[in-house]
Amino acid sequence: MDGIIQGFELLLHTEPLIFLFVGLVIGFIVGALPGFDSANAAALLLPFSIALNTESALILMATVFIGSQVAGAIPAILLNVPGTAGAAATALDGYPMKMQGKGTLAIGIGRAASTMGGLFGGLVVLGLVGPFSAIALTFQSPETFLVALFGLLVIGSVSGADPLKGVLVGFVGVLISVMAASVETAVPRMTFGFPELYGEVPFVPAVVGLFGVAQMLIFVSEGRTMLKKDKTSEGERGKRNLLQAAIATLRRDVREAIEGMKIALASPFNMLRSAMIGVGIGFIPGVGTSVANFVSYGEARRSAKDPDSFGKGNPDGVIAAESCDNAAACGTLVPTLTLGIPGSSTAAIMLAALYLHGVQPGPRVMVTHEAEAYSVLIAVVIAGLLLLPMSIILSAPLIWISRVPDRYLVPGVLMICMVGSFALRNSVFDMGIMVIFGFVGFVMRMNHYPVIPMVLGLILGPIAEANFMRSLQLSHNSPVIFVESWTSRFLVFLVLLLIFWNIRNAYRARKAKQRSKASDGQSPDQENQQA
Amino acid sequence: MSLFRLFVPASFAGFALLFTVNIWDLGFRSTVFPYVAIILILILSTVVFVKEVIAIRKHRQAEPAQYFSEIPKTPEPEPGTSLKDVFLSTYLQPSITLAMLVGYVYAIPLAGFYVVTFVFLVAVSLVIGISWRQLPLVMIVMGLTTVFSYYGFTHLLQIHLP
Repeated sequence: MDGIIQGFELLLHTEPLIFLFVGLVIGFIVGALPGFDSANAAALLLPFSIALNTESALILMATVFIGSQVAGAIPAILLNVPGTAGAAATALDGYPMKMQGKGTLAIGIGRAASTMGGLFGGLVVLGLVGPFSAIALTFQSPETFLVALFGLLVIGSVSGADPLKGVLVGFVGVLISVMAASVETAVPRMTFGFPELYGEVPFVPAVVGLFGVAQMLIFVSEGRTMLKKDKTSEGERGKRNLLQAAIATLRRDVREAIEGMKIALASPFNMLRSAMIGVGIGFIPGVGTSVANFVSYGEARRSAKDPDSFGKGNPDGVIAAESCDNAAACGTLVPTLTLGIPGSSTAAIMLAALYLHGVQPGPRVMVTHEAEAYSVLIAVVIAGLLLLPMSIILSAPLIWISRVPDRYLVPGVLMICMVGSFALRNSVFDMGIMVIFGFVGFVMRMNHYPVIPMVLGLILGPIAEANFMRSLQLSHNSPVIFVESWTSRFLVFLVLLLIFWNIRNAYRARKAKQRSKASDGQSPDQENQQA
Repeated sequence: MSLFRLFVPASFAGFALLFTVNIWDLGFRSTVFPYVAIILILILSTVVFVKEVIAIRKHRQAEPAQYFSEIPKTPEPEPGTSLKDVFLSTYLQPSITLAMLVGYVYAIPLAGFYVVTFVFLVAVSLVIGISWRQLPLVMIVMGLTTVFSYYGFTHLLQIHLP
């Protein structure tokens, strides 16, 4: 309870409150931009966050995440293109509602459900983070190493279509992170004579390159074709002047938000169940909001009286997807703060922000920076309360932002990437690192390799190495230390279970592929049912 | 296009081997952890490489139309389009952008941040396919971004640009 009070006191200062609002606004903007997610925005904000207090930096990242989840529904409903991965299930019923002329009502329902889900998720996380951290605090060096290993394996396994590729990328990230002077002996390893690499590979340019530059190169390569899909409402807006249009939009949004709130509140069980699914899945490191979204949508459909109406514009589908979405975003903060394992890509950047502020991510964060951690969680609850009014106020600009063409977006974001990478150490070398990682991230993403495990490898590599070496030192180079305590045995069991689970899934996928080949003679309907 | 899928696991394995050569003569305490990571990378990249080779062989044996339909995110090519054209349509523009980024980094010390940034942004705008008529508007947006970055860094963060 002391931690919560201290966190609240910390939050009541001007700077954290300002960045709570700023984060939400940036999150709304980012969420409304199809193809540009909160992790990209958090990566771009990383250089700016260095000048802030630890709590302000974390609040900025967390509220960007929360805000983007709400705004991600707007392009999902209006353009059938999710602004964030978490809004993918929202489009299933949101877009058909829009086609029926209920687009703004669907956005209103989405906003209301998202707000309630975010509020519920924030409160649950606030209550659960204490007990979780108490367990995590019993960890010594071997356990910390095993947690880092487990985190790397779990993120690698779930962040892409092929677990093998994810884990490979994670270990490459670890190897890149040890391109520095050894923590044990201070001997430089693979620094190519660059004194800039003696500390370690500069983290901010690496993350900015992997997310920001790589994403812009993808935009250049593929173009955001979704922007060409829908232009129906532009002519309508063009007939009136800007002020009249803004007032009319605001009035309509307030009306639709109230109507949406009524519809959402009329399904309290659906909303609560979806929020609980969201928080539960958010706890699982690396699974992220998109999985939670579809699980919640599927559950709502399964338990509905008229499951056939789902996918054809059923408001319950939007409620299930949106209330789960924000609750999951809150849930991802628990493993991030208590174990140092990010629950999502944005949470990985939050860990990076911790790292840059001299805080080592892991179980001890809740001891050494308890007030800061709680201030972030309280800020998430407050952000949950602010989501509805702010999303209404920003509604008109957000719809406009969702249609910003590449010709303004790409050079603008590249500019921020370059200046941000340079600014950390006033070093052109860092900009070179950004370009290299931008190329690496682009090639990886074009070939369907996930980028998140590499970021996690960069963060967890030094932590894993330090604890691995310390454990070996304590045991006089005997690896038995990694199975000495019951906690470490349990963690080893989890690691082995995860490896077994991945092999089993790969085997099942192969079998399913063989079966689908064998059933080539079946009708398309039968195949769809199997899928 | 398909052979390019081998590039990623091969380059990861190459990176691990390069690291091995670099730390070969260092002591046990400096290298034990990197060696663990290197061994895992070599095993995993070999498995991924072999899987990709098998997948490419299967795709090549299958019908070309089916092959193209199984490459996600790539627009279906016109009949008669070669793999080289598909590859270029995906990678050419980003490669030019990337080359300009590298050139930009090298040019800053020679011509100064603002001049090089202006030239770079005009070039990027042209590469992504804007017309000369749209250029003034793009420049206004770029100018605002530059001003925002400048004031953000020099006044808020007290960092001075070159």
